[in-house]
Amino acid sequence: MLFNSAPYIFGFLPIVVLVYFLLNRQHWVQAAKWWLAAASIVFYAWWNVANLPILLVSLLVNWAVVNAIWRANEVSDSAAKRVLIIGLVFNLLYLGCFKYYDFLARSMNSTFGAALPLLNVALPLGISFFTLTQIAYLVDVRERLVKRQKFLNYALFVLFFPHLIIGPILHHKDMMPQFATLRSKVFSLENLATGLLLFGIGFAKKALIADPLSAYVRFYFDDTPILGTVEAWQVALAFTCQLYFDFSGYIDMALGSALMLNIRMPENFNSPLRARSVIEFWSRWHMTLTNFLTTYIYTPILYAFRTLSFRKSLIAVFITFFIAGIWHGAAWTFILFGAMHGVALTVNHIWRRSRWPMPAIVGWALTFLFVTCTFVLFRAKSVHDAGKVFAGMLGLNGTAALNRWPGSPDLLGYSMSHAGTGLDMRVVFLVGLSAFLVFAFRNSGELAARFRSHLGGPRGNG
Amino acid sequence: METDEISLRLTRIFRDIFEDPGLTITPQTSARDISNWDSLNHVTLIMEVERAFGVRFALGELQDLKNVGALMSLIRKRQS
Repeated sequence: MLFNSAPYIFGFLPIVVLVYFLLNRQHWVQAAKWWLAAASIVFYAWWNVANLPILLVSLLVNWAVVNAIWRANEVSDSAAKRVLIIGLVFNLLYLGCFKYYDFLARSMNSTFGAALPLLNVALPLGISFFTLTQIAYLVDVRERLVKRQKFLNYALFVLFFPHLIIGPILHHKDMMPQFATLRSKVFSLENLATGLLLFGIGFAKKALIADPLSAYVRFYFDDTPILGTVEAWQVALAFTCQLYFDFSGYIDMALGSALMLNIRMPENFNSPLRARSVIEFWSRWHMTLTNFLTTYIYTPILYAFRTLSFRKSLIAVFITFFIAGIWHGAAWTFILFGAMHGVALTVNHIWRRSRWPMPAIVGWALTFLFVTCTFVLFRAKSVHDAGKVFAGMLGLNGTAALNRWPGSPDLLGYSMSHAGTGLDMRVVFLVGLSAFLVFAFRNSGELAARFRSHLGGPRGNG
Repeated sequence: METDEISLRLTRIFRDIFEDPGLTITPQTSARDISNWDSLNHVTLIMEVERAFGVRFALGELQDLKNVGALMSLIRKRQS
């Protein structure tokens, strides 16, 4: 089920919230938890029931591993470590099987003439996210950071529908206590109102900006052979706006939905397009992923080096983002995306350490241009398609329009497409509106906090 | 170890890692107050603290140690 679909907004969400608080009101706290877990399973299976066993197998195997680690922790550290490694291998193979096997097989077949069979399974929804969530949990259980839990608490933490499909990537220490406190069981009008506000902002971001841009972006990225300069820049900027408003809008809807249930999930975006360096960008964009990467990939790599130096830190940064690229998707475009960010971050760190000057405006422009270029890789279906857009952006094909946008040619009878270059006034308007919203307004998290303070409530949860 | 002793040793580590010989820290000092305290230096700092105090932190704790007060109380907890 998608957050921006009618069945979710008018059916699923109101029913889930209503029944949840009715059950809690009767003091049927356990029943209320089961209700949320069951609702999350329905939410997940709505799109494609065939994916459900994949989610449940991952959940149950990981629960078995969690219990095995708890038991092993009482025996010895090395026993616990062995169980953890088995758990990690399971998760990586599981993810690899569904997400990367076909990509690897195809690469082997075309490079070495191998004849590996392809699985051709569609990527199960959310598998990248629930795999990471559970890996972090296993590691923390092994390091004795997690008290013994009942199965229901673990299941609810993993399955909780607001984060299940697209994040934010939750950490148990932020979530488990919230599910446990009695205060979160009492209906709060303030949380409902703030949740509705966040949901509305997210919905508007997606419906009014991201979705209208998507058809345009799809045409120029996927269905054209060659792009003129204006067309290429236009579509690259359009996609940057589309991706940010789509992803952050979706996260706003997720945070809003959770808040209606008195659960506060971590922020995932903090005005990333305002960032003045690539380092700052990653501290504002997909923040829960950056936290996961720093904690569970970057740090262990550094620990593996044993002794530290600036150079080793940079190597670790690069490896981390290389892996992050692969995590984003099984394609060369994502690998390049990760590698480019890895290189940019090392350059950024060297620059910072050298204390060379960087005027804020120049830093912003460089960061924005770089991010926009890497998003071309993120969106393109192949490296070839990305190359096509880059060639256009570099002006290799001249400024004249080389394609004809097949969508509606005009709006209100006014011709919107500027003859000659392919400049499309609707796209200019939407990109301009995006820029205006990004720079002139508070972001959704700030708006929600302000709204809450106007309601006169405490800033804490509940 | 006494709080003063921890604080003294931490100050030395902080001055060394953030390359600022005049740096002073209080329990309220956080990553926001020291411009060099980024994710890169954070791990360096943690490893140095682990070595100097003979303690180990869990990976899942590191993100919560971005202020001096939390760092000090966890060092005390691990040493006891």
